[in-house]
Amino acid sequence: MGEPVSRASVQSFYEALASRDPLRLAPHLADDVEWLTVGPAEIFSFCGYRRGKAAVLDCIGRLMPATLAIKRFEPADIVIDGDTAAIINNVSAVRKDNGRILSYQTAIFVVFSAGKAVSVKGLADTFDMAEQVVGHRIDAFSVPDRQVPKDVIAL
Amino acid sequence: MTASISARGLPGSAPDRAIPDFLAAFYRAYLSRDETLLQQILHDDVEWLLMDPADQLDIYGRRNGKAETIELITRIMPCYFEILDFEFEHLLVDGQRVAAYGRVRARQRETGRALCFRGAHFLRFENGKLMSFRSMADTFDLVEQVVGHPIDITKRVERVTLVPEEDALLIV
Repeated sequence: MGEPVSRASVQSFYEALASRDPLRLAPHLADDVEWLTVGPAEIFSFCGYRRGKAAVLDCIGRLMPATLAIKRFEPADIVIDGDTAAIINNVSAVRKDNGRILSYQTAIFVVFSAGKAVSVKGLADTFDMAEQVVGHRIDAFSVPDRQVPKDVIAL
Repeated sequence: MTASISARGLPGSAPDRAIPDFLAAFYRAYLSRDETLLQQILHDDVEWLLMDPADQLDIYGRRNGKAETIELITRIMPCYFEILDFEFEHLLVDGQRVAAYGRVRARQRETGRALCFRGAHFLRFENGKLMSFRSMADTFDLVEQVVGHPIDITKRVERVTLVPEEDALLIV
């Protein structure tokens, strides 16, 4: 475990993250930051692994706003131990394509080095989020319909 | 890459960390589903929340108090899963507040299928007893593993009436 991170640094990072402003967030990220948002990328394009400041800021500044407009991003609990901080967030957002309101909690684990985030891992109840996106209870037990590949040619 | 910490192996699995006795005791009780150990480590007013799809599996949702929580862990959860271990990539301890992130390894009882998914725990102890437990997981991935196939999010749960309205037997 590295040098302990101060509560002020954690707070400053969190406020920059909550602003969703890439210019404000950039100084808080290490150049080779690793960013993992766990979830189905086919539903939420901002899910997945990113490495490097440019890729992360593109995700925050372009991919996420194209899908969701974050209306509320508030901490419910913060735990700090050494160089790592864990934060539970209450999030409210509006889906851009259909106007649906999403309300959910996320957990974020951030590792700091010299006051900058070197690793950020985010997690949420992704099944609940998917149901909020589509606006109905998903029948997970229903087997998907088989789809014939369009490039198969029968002779 | 930092080696993960096995919850089942605490405190020995974290030799470079000062792990409180109450934390090791909780995970020992939780993973063993030993009612005696759970009685010792849980606060009478414990709040237990698995933030996951309660509509799909009734192990999820909120439980209030020691009796409900112990029933969940010892009787209800084993009907669906056997949790084999938690492998923590991050284990944070701040006094009596704990946060953990990593992978959950479990076995589905119905199929014997191995399950592995990412999750996070947030715990709060009071005088060494668990007062609050909040768990979050990548539930979309978990449910796909449970049902054994990709989820089609366009498929909706259909409402089905239990008894047809024209059933002659209902006419009084």
